Amino acid sequence: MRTTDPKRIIYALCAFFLAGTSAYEGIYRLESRQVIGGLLEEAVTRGDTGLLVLASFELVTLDTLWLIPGVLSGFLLIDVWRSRLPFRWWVNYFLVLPWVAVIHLALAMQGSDYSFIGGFIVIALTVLAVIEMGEGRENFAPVVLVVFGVGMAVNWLNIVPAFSFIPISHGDLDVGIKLAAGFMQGETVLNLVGLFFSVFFMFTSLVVTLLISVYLRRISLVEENKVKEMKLQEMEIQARQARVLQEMHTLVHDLKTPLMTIRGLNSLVEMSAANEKVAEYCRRIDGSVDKVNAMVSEILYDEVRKKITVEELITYVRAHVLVKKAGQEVIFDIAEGLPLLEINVIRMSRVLINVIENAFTATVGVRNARITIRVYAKEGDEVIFEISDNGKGIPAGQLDKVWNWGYSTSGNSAGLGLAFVRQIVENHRGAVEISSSEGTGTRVTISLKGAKDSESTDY
Amino acid sequence: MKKRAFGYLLLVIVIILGLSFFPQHRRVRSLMPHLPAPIASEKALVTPAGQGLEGLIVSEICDNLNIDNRFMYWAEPQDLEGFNSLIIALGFSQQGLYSLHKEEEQEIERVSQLVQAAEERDIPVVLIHLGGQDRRGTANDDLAEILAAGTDYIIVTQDGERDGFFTGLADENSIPVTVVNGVSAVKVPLNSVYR
Repeated sequence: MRTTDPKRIIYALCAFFLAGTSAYEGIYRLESRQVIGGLLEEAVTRGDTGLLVLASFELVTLDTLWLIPGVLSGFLLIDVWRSRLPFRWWVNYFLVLPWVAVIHLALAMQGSDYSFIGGFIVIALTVLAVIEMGEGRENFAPVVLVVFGVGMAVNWLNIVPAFSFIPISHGDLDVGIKLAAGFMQGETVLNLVGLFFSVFFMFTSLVVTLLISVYLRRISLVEENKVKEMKLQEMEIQARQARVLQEMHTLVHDLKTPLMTIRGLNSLVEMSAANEKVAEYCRRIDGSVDKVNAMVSEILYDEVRKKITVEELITYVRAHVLVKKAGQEVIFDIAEGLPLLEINVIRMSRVLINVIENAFTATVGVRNARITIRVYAKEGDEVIFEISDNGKGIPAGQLDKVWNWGYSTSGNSAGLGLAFVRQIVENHRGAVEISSSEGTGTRVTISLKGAKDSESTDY
Repeated sequence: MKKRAFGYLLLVIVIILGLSFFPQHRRVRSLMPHLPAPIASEKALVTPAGQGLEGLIVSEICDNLNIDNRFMYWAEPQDLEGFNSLIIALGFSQQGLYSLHKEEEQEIERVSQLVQAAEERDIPVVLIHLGGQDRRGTANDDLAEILAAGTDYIIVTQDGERDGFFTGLADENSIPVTVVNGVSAVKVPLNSVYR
């Protein structure tokens, strides 16, 4: 049973309440036994075997109902605290035996005539059944069913006169029922009825156990297959990504050839230019070719770094991303005096664009949608980019999966975004964190080290 | 799965067989099948010693045998007036004592006084034990020892006599004892008390 700590404490309190109920030889028990005793006397006086069977049924049911809370309390405690116990999962269940022994000791101290050996046979069989169900069981209902079934089976066996030689029955009324059956010559009837119900309940418990066991094994197989499929999918995505990157590299690399041609021809034009204005245009063309060349290098080689101010980077990002704005309020809050960054501008700007685009997607259809991009310095040379939105958020259970290649909350994305973000940020020796609350919004924090010999942008 | 189910079935059978081989004491043969001559006359007062269901069962057996009797849960010495014999069915029951709101000590005192009064009035006392091994143990055995001194005849079922406890008591007190197979077999020796 997977559960949180407060729930664990509530379940533990419930278990102690159940154990207390089972361990207390209350007036209700004595009174109900008296009712059965009265029924038994009536059966003897009237010589009515039907009444004898009815008394047996009442006794068996009551004995089982009194047994169940104690046994269940043990299983509940083990189920809830299983992960914190030092033994293997199935060994833990044997701790139910000493737990119920304590309850029985408390009953014995109150003078109860309860059939203790019978109770232990019930627990031993139930422990085996619960172990057979497997580690994956999370529902407690099958345990309740099996405890009830096995309890009824063993308690019916208690009142079968043919099994009197088995030293498990010491109950007052069990003895009374067998004596009455002996007197009324109803032993055969009681043997047949008792055996029938005992076998019926034992069989039912066995069937429940095996069904649950088979069902849980199937579930486990399905989950295993799902994990395998996910891994295959992940590998496919990685292969696809590698292929795309390779194609992109080839294409970008091919850009260098025409660039070199432009540069060469441009320098020829510059040399032969009589007009100073034309020469100036040529120098500008050459400068632009340099810039394009640098960008191509950054795209091709991750390790290429360039010093840039935060403002320059944000301006570059804004130029690419805000055109997609669809009704959301976008707030830029850039602190002053931030350190210079030494980054791969193209890649880092893609990182920020990716995160901001995710925020746009998350806020589509949200009233008063707002995306805030905050940049500030921390501990002197660290620059923090904080992109937050008030969108639909990410469910808590899926938050740790967002970094996986192929993970996407929207069906339209290939799910490469945040995995790419983390890879690039980590290549820059930075860190990225995400926090989200479903229905409230998401915040992505990227921290990057400033350039070592940086000058403040104020300079 | 079939192998597992078979394994569990085998385990249940082994448990039942294992328990059936629990040490059992020697089987005691009946010392006498019934009394050679009647020792008591009607009307009989039937009372339980320990408030088990046995008292009522013995009274019903007497009815079946047409033995004039009266069953009293809490018969005291003064109740012996008008009766010519006393039949005590031994067997402590917590539920029986609870229904009369009595304690074990009170029950032992009542039955001891009753047997003593019967002895004083020269009323024959028959002690019957039907409950087998489950109605043995400290309280039952202690009371049996107290009652044996004032008893004239003991009838006990075989299940309660595996250790020879009642035959030993009978030997010590020189009283006849009959060991029967089951509850319905009590009829013959009980009838022999009166006829």
